[in-house]
Amino acid sequence: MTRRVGSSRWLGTTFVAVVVSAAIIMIPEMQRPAMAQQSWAPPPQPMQGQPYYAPPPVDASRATAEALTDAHADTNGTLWYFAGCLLGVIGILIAYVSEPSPPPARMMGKSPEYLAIYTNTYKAEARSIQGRSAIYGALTTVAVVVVIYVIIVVAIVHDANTTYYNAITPASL
Amino acid sequence: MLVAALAFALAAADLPPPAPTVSVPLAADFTLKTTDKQGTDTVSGSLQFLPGGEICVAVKSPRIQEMRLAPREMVIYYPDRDLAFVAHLAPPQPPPMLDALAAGLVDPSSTLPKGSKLLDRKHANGELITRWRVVDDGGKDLGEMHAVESRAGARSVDLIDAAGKPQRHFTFEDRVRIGTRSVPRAIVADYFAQGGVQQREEQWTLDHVSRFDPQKATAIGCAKLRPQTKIQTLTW
Repeated sequence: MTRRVGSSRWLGTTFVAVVVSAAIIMIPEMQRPAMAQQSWAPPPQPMQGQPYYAPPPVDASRATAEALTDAHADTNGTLWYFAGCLLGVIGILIAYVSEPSPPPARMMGKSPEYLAIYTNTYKAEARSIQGRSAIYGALTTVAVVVVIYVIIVVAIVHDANTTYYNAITPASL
Repeated sequence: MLVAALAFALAAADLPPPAPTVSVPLAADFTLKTTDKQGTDTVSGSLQFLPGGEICVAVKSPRIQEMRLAPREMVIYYPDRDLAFVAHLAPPQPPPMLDALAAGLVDPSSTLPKGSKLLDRKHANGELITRWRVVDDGGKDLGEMHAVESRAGARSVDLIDAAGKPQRHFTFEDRVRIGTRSVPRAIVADYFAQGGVQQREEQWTLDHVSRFDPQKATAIGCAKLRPQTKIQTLTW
């Protein structure tokens, strides 16, 4: 006994597999690393008799806040969206590899702790924005391709299932 | 290096950096007032543009700091802690630049890509007003640059993106002639986020502007590192 799998069922299975795979790959990528470092937990207290080398919390929080604001303002998401649209996976890779840098004027007169936190947060956030935008662009392209593919398959299946009857006319009898 | 003055501004504005480089040796005391959502910061010190294209900055307030900006390296040094952050830059990264200062020292049109086109040019009240379509080498439209220039030099430069939203606005006032260069002593730089929302304003004031002669004067603020200096690599 043979089982015939219909095209629509195969298409549905493939679509679900693609969506699940894409979600597994992309959800971790879409995390915001800068924000992920934040915690509601109180900062660790120094042990008795041990020096406390952590940066002053005000400076650290300000550095993080300013870096996030500046990264959002400086990063051109539209550009990376189109890079993702046109280049697909390559565009996403470039977006995550390319590291934008803040202007040096923003470092003037700032403490070493501020400098380190600001630079790392800025670059991480800007890269994240670039990557997210490129992923959205690539997803847009994938969605458009899938829609076109579905339309074509449905049209073919519809054609295959349509029964054509020859017109029987008195003249042909 | 200074004709590449707008390198960062243009790169940040998704405009390609200009190619030629020139150096302008000069020294000045500066005050930088930065205003953004977090408030206003004031930084003061002295700076030098060296003949080799390097910029040395000695920050005196609010924290002692030395910065050396070279085309392929940036060093930020804290003398009180003998701690240095060193960043190495490789092409195609633009050289680190104090873009607001540098923008006031060069001819605005010299910073544009070769494919750029002059849209409009007119004289009014003794000033030359030009409007440029910024087009990269691939023919892509990147936006516009508007410049107002007097006989002494540029008075204002605006960078506008392809959607017509402002990205940078520079104004240059109180110029003084140093050698063959006209140097603005009051500079205001407005930075806009995507969509044209104002994000930050920098106000630079320069005092005691003079020509820097390396034969007669010693460069200060150039982050001279010692063997025992703690060096931390800065990813840039």
